Amino acid sequence: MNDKFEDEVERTLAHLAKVDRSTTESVRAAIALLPDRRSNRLPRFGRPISVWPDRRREFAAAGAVALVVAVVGFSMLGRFQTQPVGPGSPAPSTPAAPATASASPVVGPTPTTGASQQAPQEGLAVFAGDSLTVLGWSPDGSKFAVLDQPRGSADVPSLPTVRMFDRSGMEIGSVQASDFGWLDSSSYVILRLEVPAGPSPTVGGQHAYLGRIGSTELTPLGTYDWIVAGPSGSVALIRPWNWTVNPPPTYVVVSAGGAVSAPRQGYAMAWSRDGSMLAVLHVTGPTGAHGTGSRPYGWPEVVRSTGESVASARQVASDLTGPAAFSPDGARVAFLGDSPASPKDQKVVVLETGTGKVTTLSTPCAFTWASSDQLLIAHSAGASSSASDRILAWSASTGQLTDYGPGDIVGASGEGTVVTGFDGIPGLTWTSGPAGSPSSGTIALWDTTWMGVPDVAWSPDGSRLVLIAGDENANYMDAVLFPG
Amino acid sequence: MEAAIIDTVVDRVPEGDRGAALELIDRAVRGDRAAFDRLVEPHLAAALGASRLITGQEADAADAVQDALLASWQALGSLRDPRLFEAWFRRIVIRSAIRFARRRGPVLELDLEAPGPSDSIEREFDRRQIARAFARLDSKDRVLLTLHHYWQLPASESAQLLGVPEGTVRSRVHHALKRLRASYDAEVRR
Repeated sequence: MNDKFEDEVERTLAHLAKVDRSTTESVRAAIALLPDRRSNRLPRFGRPISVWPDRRREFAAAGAVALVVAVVGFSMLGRFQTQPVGPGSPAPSTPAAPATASASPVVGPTPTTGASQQAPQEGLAVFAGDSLTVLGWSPDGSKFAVLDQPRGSADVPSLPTVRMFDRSGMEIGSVQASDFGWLDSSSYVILRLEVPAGPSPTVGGQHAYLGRIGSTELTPLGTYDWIVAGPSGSVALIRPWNWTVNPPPTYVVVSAGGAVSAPRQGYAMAWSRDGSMLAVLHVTGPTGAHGTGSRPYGWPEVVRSTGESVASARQVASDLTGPAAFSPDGARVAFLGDSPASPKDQKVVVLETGTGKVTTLSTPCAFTWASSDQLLIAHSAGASSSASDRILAWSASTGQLTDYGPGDIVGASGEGTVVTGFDGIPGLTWTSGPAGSPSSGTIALWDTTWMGVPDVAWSPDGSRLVLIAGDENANYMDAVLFPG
Repeated sequence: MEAAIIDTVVDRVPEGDRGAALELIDRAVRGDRAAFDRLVEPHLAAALGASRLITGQEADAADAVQDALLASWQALGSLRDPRLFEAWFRRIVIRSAIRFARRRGPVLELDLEAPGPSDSIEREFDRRQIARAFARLDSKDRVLLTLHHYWQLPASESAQLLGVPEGTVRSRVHHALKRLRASYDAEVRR
C-alpha cells in the first residue's frame, strides 16, 4: 500500500471528522439531561400506547423489551420528541414485526382463570453489563438475582458476580459466583470457581457455599459442577462428573438450613414450581441406540424432593443439554428428547407425572408452558430465523396441536401472558387472555439485533418480571425489572 | 487504588490531581452528572469525529454519541477498572455509530470543501476524491479505517473492541485500505 496514500487518508479523515463546535456543545449540554443514574428509571414511552387494551394492568410484561431497547437506542436528550418508541410506535427504518395486533393470525392463548398481572407502566433498568443472566426470584418474591459476567481483559480478569436486588430493583448485595440458587428469602447457594495457584492449574468442579443476605460469611458445602434451583427455594447440586455413563451423574439436595442430602443417582434437570418434584435424567449414552452426536442423553424420571420415584419413561432418550420444564401445576414435565420412532430427530417429550404417559410432540427450537394445559413450541425451519417460523400450541387436555402464530421466540409466565417474536427482528408480540377474550399487540423495537430468546424470570405471583435483553451490536445487556 | 491506575486515570482526565480524577469516577458512578461531564469531555470531540466518519452525517454522529453517553452513563457501575474507561467508552461509541450507519445505509455526504488550486497542485492525492471514496465504503470498512487511521488505535485495541483476533484486524484494515484505494482510483477515472 502506498504510504503517501495512507498519509493522505489520515489527513483526510482528520478533516472529515471535524464537527461544528455547536454540535459538540449541544451533545455535551445533553449530559445535564441524563436520567437519574441512581434509580435508572427509564422514561415513559413517548406517546400513548394505543394498541394496548384498557385492561393494561393485566398485561404488558413484554413492554419491558421496548423499554430495554429504549435504553440502548434512545436517549432523553431531546430525541424522544421526534422518535418515540414503544408499542404502537413502529421503530423507524426497521423491518416490521411479523405479526401485528390487527392482522395477526394468532390463535390466542387459552384463557386461564385467576391469572392477574400488574400493569407495568415503566421498566426499571436495574443493571447493565457485558453479559447478564437472570438467576430467578427468591421464593417469597422479595428479591431476585442476576449473574453478571464481564468480558475482562488482559489486565482485568473476568470475575462472574451474582448481584442481588430487592423487589424495587435496588441492589442489595453481590457475591463472586458463577452459579446461584435461592434457598429462601435470606439465604442462597453459590458455586465459585477457585483455581489453585500454580503454572498449570487444574480445576475439578467448583466450590459450593451457603451464603446469607447481609453477611460476607460463606459456609462451604463441597465441590460440585452445577446448581439446579427451583422457584420455591429447592436446590440440587450436581456432583463432579466427567460426562460418562459409568460412573453416572449424581446429585444432592440442599435443604433450607444448608443440610446436604446423601447423593442420589441421576442428572437433575428441573424442579416443579412447588419444589415437591425434581426431573432427573439417568444417563445411558452417547453409546446407546439413541442420541445425536456426542451429546449425553438419558431416560427421564420424576422424583419427589425426598428421592422417591413418581414417574419415569425408560423408552425416551432425553438430551441432558436441552431444556426441561414442569407445567405450572406439576402434572407434566416437558423435555427435549428423541422420538423412539425417529431416534435422531429431537422432539418435545411430555411425561405425565401422575400416569407416566409419554406424548411426543414436534421438533422445537424453544418451548414454554403458557398454562398448565398449554405448551407452546417454537419452530424454526432453518438454522436462522425465518418469517415462516411458527409457534404451535399443544393442549394437554385435548391432545390437539394447533397453530398459535408466527415466531421462533416464545416466553410465558405460565399464567396467561405470552411473549413471542423472531430472533434478530426487533419486534415482539404479546398476548394475554385472562378474561376469556385474548388480547394482543405488537411491540416495535428499536433497530437492534435481538439476542435470541429473551431471558426472563417471573416473580412467584406473576406480577413482576425481570427480563434480560441487549444489543448484539452494542455488545452489552440490560436487566430490566418490570414494572419499575 | 493502585498508583498505576491513578496515573492512567490522571492521564485521561487532564484537570485536577489524582484524588480529583478518582473522585470524578466515583462521583459519576454515584450519579453526579457534572462529574460524568468532566469524565467524558476529553473524549467527546474524538467520539463525535469517529461517529461522523462512520455514520457519514453530523446529525447522526451527534445522535450516536448521545446514545453512547446515555448507555455509558447507565452502565458506568459495571466498569470494573477506571483504567479501562477510555477504551470502554470508545467501544460504546463505535457500536452506537455502527447502529446508526446500518440504519442509514450508504451515505455520500462526506464531501470536503473544494480544495484550493495550490492544494490540487501540491497534493498527489485529491482529498475530496478520497472523501468520496471513503463514503462509498461499507460501514465495516469505514469503522476499521476510523479505528486505524483516525483514532490510530493499535491492532490489539481494535481487536478487543471488535471482538476479533489481532491478525484479523490487520488483515481487514489492509483490505479496507485496498478497497479505499480502488474506490479512489475509480473516482479519479470519472
